[in-house]
Amino acid sequence: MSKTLKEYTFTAFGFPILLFDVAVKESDIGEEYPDINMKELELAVARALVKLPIPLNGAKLKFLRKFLKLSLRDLGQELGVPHTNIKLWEDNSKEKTGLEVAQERQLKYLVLIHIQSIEQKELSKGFFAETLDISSINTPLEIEYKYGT
Amino acid sequence: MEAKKEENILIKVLEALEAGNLVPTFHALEQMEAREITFSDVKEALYQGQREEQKDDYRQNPKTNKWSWRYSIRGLADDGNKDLRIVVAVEDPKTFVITVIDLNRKE
Repeated sequence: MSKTLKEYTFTAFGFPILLFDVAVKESDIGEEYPDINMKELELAVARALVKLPIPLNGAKLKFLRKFLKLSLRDLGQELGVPHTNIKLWEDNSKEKTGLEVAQERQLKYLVLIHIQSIEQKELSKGFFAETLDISSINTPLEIEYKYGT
Repeated sequence: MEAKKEENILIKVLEALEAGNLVPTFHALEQMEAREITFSDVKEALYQGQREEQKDDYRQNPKTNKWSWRYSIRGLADDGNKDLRIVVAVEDPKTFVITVIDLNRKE
């Protein structure tokens, strides 16, 4: 016997995600669970964050770092930021990070490449999602950057 | 009805994780939010986790009379800041996260 939740706020990635029409099922152990594929959800959230037109907060930065399977130190090296800064920003989960626009774009680029590599593997299994390319990265340089002196 | 105990629960859990079939129950999701444990933490702990076989539990669902095993796995997450005990149950093709406790955290 299953029911459906019209709306459900999923928080297990560290920030709220509103899900619609979530099927609720009961397991043999008598516990109810949302009938979702966690890998597909994770991928969908990563895709959404690439296109997010506002700066990342600490929780979203942490989610993306874990999605990339990078340590604090490794991400710090990729972005040219001390890993201690990344740790500090992640701990202040609800606050905007101190990443510069170019660094945030670089992070989103890494995420994009990772998504594409996952999708390459999933294509053979019939998994389909909207194609993302570099133009999907929505952190507008022209607004944030001042060129010249 | 008796349930068979999984011999290689760690492999089973990681297979479910890779396929997206490791799913927290609503109860576990509430605990995780209250204890500030994310699904990424759970994944990280499971990837390098160890069995706590002495904590395994065999229970009957009073509604269905079905018996099932609950397995305990312990691992570190969040750069060692979290010491997680994760209780899972297998119901092919899914594996459920039933309980997550951070042993480093004072409740």
